[in-house]
Amino acid sequence: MGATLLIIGWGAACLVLRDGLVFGVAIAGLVLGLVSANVATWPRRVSMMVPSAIAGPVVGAVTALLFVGMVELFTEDVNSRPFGLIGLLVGSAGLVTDWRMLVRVRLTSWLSAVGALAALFGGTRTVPWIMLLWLAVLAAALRSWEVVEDRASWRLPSLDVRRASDLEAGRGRLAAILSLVLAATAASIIFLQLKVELPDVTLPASGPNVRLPWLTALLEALGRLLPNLTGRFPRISLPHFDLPFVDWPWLEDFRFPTIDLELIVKGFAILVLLGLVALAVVPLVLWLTRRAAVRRARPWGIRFAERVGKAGARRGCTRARGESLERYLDVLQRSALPDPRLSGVGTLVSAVLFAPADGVAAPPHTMIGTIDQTFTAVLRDHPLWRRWLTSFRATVAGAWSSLRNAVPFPRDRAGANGASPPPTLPVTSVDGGPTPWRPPLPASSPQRRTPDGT
Amino acid sequence: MEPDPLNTEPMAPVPLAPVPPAPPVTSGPSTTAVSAAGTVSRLVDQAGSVLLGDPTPIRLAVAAFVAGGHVLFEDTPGVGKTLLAKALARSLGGSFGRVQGTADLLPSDLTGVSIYDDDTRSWNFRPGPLFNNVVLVDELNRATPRTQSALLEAMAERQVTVDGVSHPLPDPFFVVATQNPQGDLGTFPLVAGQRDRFSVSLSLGQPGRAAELVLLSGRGGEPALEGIGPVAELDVWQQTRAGVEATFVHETVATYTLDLIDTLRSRLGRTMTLSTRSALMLLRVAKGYGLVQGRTFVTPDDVQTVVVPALAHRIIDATNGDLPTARSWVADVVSSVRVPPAPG
Repeated sequence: MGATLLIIGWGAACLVLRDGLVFGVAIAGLVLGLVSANVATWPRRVSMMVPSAIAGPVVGAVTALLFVGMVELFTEDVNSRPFGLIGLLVGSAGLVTDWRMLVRVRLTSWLSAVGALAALFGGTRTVPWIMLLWLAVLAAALRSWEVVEDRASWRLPSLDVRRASDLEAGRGRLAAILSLVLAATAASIIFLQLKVELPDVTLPASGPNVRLPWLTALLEALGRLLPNLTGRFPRISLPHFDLPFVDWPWLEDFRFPTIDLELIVKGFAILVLLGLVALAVVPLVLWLTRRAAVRRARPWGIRFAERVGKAGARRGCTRARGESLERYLDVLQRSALPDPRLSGVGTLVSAVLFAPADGVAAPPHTMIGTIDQTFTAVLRDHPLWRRWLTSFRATVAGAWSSLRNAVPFPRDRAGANGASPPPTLPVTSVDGGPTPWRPPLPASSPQRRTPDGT
Repeated sequence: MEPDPLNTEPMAPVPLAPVPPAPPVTSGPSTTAVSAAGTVSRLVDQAGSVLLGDPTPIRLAVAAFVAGGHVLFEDTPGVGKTLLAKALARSLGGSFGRVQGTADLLPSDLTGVSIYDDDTRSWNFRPGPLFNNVVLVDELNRATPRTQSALLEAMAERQVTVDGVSHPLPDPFFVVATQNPQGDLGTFPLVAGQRDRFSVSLSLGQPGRAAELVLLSGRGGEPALEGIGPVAELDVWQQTRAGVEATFVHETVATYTLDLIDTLRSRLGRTMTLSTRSALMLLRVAKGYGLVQGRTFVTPDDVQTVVVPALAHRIIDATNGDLPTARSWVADVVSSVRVPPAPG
């Protein structure tokens, strides 16, 4: 239901905006988010062995790659990497929340919606905020992460549902974690030997409700296939698990060093934590650094237009799509930034941007300096709080006026004394009839001219 | 006492002024444009002292003139179309001709005829009212399409061909035509080719209460018309038109102009399209408007200001001949096209 509503909402927004790209990306994000949220629990065994916190960023990275590839493939837009980052965030956050065994699909959809709506309405500017949101989610999830020494396992107090319910399962999970790390860095044989050296690690018996690490299951299957294999497998004595190469002469004197298991678990937990944070922070820092460099390298006209647009938007007057910068400055002068200096700024801006190099009275850099200084002064003289104060006063005045109109004060009861209230006339145009189209005038132009110039 | 050029009869013989060659541009382009901007500004002010109210139509008409184009006024009677044409003609100087569009108006009534002279036993060409610097064709759409077509060659090529002989028109040559709203009794709609010859189509609208008050007090209007004279000599206007050519157009502005044209074309679909002449004339009028504003360069605002008057009458077939609808349609499209950021 939630996903359906999201699709309908995105579709409506895209119809309004006449842009189908956002819809496609958002739908793909939703699908990938749902998939990534369920990857960790399917197959079930993998989910039990690998904490979702580990798998989340990995699958999120894959999601991001898919996102970037898909968007770039269909749009041929190499600037779509922020969408990929959103995919990374959605996938990771979805899996991290899946780790909590909450209503993961709903939560993932919600995060997908946040990402998609942010991309829809905020563009790439909101990506850092989404990344910070994800960091907050991650920090909340990891807040109570600790290592439980007695079980040599991780315990997440807020995630009791997923916590190992018994010692065997906890050890099985430990074995799975170690297998994940060591198999990636060394070889399966090292894992086997290491596990054998651990005194309290035993492989649980098979059964319908026992959680087995995948390698155990693999070896069990291997043992069933090769039941006649024998070898030395100290302290566990599961002959069918012994592998033939343990009898090799060059391995007879080989001894693994004693390893502090708790130290490994703690260190690994810290590494995972740091890795997760780095996974979030590094792309964010890289992206912000590159963006800052790109923004610094842009021409002055584009930077100033963005500055003006941001200042106007903060004051409740956004720039219309078909509005030139000079006209927008004129609009700002008449609304959000009532300062007469803005019209001069607009004229200078047009001269800097559109005049030939030899057609202006002053060098462009001089005029640019003047424009920047004047606009800074205008912003300084019209701070945001003043607008908020004005807005607050207007709101209070409107509320008071509504209250007065709603409550008949005694002095307003004209009808009660027999006198009729003053008649109201409909407001009509003096000229009458439809007004022909006229282009908007500059602020300096007189609307009505007389021979006297009045 | 000098003869009043505004009292020229439609068929009165007008001495053909020799067409001077275009003056060489000796100074830099910007210098030419700067001097032209001052002359144009005086022209706007003088015409504005006669036609009170919103000065924008005056600016647009002057922009079309300096851009080398022609102006079409569509409005209800009595709002000052003819008055503005007369004010422009007086301010521009030169000769003035006026034609009243009627159903029985013939092409030769505009172009002139060859008359047999018994004394010399030869055919002498007697020029029509088109052989003036400023020609007012009042109620153009009351003339038949055949007569309307007599204007095509004159407006586009600035010459008239009669009996196989081409006669060049004076320079500057400026046609101001008025038409009644389409659908009025006894009107013939202008064909697309004829509309395309006009740079801009304007409506004056009502002048407003303040301006009407001034008019009622006896200032402005017809009385003011008697007190104005030429702002500059004819050769100055030729230099002014050269100033328009020298007006600088930034690549961003040219791109924006094409964006507008392409968007309009895509919205129009396959039923009709905008010609390349439309795009060229749009930019030329925008240049003229920049000059009117006292600038030697064009801004996106100039293009936005002139795009509706310059294009609405060309796509009027898409709105069943309704010019106000075409204007609002073009304005909507303009508001939807993003102004490209200029790098600076």
